[in-house]
Amino acid sequence: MRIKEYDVSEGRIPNEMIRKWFEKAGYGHGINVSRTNVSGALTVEISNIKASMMFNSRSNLIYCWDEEGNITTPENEAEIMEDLFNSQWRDPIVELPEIDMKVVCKFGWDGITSEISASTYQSRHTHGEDDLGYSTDMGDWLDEDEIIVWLPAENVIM
Amino acid sequence: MIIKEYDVSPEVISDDLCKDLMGVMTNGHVNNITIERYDNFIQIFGKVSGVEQELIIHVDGSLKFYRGHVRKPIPYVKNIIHMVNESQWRDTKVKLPEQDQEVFIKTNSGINRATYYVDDIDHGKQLFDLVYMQINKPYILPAKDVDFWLPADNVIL
Repeated sequence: MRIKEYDVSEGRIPNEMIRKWFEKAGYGHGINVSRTNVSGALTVEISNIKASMMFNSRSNLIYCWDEEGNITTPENEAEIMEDLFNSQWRDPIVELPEIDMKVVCKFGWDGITSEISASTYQSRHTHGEDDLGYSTDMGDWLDEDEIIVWLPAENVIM
Repeated sequence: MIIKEYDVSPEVISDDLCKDLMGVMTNGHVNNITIERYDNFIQIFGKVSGVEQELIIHVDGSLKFYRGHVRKPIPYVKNIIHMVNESQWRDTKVKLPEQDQEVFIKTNSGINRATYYVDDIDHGKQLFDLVYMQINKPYILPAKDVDFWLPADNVIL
C-alpha cells in the first residue's frame, strides 16, 4: 500500500514538526524551512549550517547532506520516514470524510492496527435510527469509533 | 504501510527485478546495468547518455536514487517504491508461515492482521485466522484463498 501524493503543506506538516524530525536525525536545530515546487512536486528543505534534509510530496524518501554537500543517512532514517508516512492519516475526531466518500481506513483496538481496509463512509438506518459508519468492501460495517485514522481512497494504491 | 526491513536476497529481489527497476528509473533508456549485492543493500548502476544512474535498496527499508558521479539525489522515481514493496510479499504457493505466526495478508479489500495455523482436528487444514473478528461472521480463511503474506513484525500499518 502506498500514498500517491503526500500533503507536505504547512497545514499538514507544520514547520515545528519538520524541525523535530531534523533534530531527531541528529542534525541539531533546523533554522530554515522552505517549500518550493520542483517539477510539479512540492519539495521541503530544512537546514542549518551543518546539514540539510529534503523530502517531497511524491514519497516518504528523505535525503540528507552534511556541510560539505556529502550525502548522509541518519541511523534512524526509517523511523523518520515512518513519521512522515503517519503524518498523512486523518484523525476522525478532528476531520470526518464526506458522506459516501471512498476511504482507506485503519482499524483495530488498543492502539494496534489490525487492518487497512477500503471502505465507504455512509449512513444506514437500523433500529429506527440513522447511524454513520464505514461500510467495507468486504461487506462489513464499522462504527465511527472503531476507526483509528483514514485517508481518501483516491490517494492510495493498495 | 511501511516495511521495516527489506529482504534483499536474490530470491526476493532478483536480478531481473533489479533490471526492471533501473529500466523504470530511466524510462527504459538504459544500458550497461550492473548489480552489486552486499549483506545490507543492493546497488544497481545503469547509464543513460553516458550519465551514471544509481539505485540503492537498503535492508533498513530505505531507497535512494542518484544521478552522475557526484551522486546528485533524485528525490523520487515513479513506481519504484511500490515495485520494491510488492516484491516483499510472500507467495502462499511457495512458502507458508510457521504455525501460529502473526502475519499480514492481502485480501480483496485491504490488508489484514492474521494468525496462521494448521488445524490438526480438521484434517490438517491450513488456515488464516483474522484478528479483527466481528459478531456473526467467521473470519477464518483457508490458506488457498490467500495469495500473499508478510511477517507482522516486519510491517508498520
